Amino acid sequence: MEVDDSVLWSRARTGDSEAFGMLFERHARTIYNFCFRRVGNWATAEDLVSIVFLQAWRRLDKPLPKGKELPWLFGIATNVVRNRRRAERRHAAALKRVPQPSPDPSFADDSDQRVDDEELMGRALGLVARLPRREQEVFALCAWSELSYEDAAIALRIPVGTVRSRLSRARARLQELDPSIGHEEDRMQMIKEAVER
Amino acid sequence: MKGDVSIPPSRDLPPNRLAQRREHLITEITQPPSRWPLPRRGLLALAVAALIVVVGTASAIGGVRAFFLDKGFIGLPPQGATPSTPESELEIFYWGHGHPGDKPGDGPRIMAWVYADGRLISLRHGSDLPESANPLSTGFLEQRLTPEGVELLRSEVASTGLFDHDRVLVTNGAAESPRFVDVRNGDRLVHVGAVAECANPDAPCLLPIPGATNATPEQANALYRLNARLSDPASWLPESAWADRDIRAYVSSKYAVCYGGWPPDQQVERSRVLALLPAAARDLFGEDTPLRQGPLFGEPGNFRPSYEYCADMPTEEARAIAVALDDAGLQRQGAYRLKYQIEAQGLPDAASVYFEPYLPHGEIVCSVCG
Repeated sequence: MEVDDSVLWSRARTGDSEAFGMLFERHARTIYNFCFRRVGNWATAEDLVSIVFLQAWRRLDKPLPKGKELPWLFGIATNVVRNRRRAERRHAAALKRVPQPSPDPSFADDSDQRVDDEELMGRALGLVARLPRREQEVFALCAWSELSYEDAAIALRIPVGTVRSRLSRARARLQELDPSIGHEEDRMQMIKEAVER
Repeated sequence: MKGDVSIPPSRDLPPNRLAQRREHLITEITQPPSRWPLPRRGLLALAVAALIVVVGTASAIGGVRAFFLDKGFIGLPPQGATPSTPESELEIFYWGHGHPGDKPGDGPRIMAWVYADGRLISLRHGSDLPESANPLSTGFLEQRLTPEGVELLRSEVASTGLFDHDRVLVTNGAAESPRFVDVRNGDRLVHVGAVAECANPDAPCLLPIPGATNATPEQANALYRLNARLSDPASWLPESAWADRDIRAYVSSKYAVCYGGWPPDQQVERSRVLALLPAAARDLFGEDTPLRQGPLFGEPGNFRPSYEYCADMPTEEARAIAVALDDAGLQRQGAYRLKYQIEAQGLPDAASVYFEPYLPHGEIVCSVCG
């Protein structure tokens, strides 16, 4: 039976690094994808995942509502991305100690797709970057990472109503910024789903 | 500009990378603290910390040693000081002149914040409190109220009958009225301000303020009484209103570290201000610090917005910037807030860096504003 995040969190708070490692295994992918969607580069996103969890370890003294560990990690990730340069500088020494990637055929075969991803994400970020930063963050959490309003509110430490209003403004602005999005019918549907979610 | 905001790519970390990153994480977090990226510690910072430790008190709470300061301070707390947590909703904000003064308006200038969790945080300029950081400013101080205490303060505000909606009242007793009081009503704060009548046509005057109305004698009296109560709650609140009446320093866990040019109403380009800072401080700020509008600058009749670049950061990162500025030989200035000033030729004429603590409701205030 899988141990609850809250149990792992409690154990980690007592200094149990293995419990924290399990939390990492469980949520690294989610945070990795979130970071990629904020910076548009897989390699950078990988480093940011490490920074997010290093920061999280330092802030384990914070009591969390049960079951809200992941939104809290999203909150740390949002801050790390927001202050990315500073975070990278602060953790430069630790990042240097990350082992070099060992050869991995599946990874290499994937490289074209990774480049495509980055190009696609770069275009999306170019559009989203035209929103105010606060709206970008809400949009990335709610529309791209599918957090509930409540969880996004926990991540950003703002009221739920503020999440709603920022998301609403972000959607409206995105549609204004690029009305040509979705010339293709199927794309239009997907955009509508993301924007209207 | 074309883009597609609907289809963010998603993928897994390759299993071997996940394992490597996990192992790296475990190695890092189980290392002794010296491997953590703690800021460099300047001699001055150590000396200041040591001095404040002398006046600090330590107490045991829940088995964890907490380090509280029984005296206000300006700037950054000594390392190890226990931050005041958690974030909390603001119930009442008061800004006014306390009593006594030789003449109206001469008393200490006071800002006070009352929180839902009972914290009462205050900042006084020109107070003779023994807990003051210096003769000009107490620094941010903290006391704790019981729920009854919070309710008594709320009742005192409500009893004026003035807080059914936002208003600005014009009164000839403005110097002995609150400048303004905000009180929570549901999900918003109701704002009541008081301004002086323009008695001298040759002197600058705040009026006209849109929507301001003349205070009736009853309203003026209510403001006067409210000012006396809120400026010195210790004088009338019963013992049962206090969870901890002892004054200690408010220690924030987060700071806004701001830099700007002079004069502050000029929107000086970030790069021009940054160029005046020592390289180490410049690196710590990074080049993405957002510009924001600061407090109004100028004099009655000619207030202009000021502009500053502010980065929010945990106390230890703020300390790293202070240490970088110390190391560059810059003098710490400011009786009201920690500030460094760097003289320059041209525009800007100077750059300044200053530090403002975040309050429990997630905002900063202008701690030099009077």
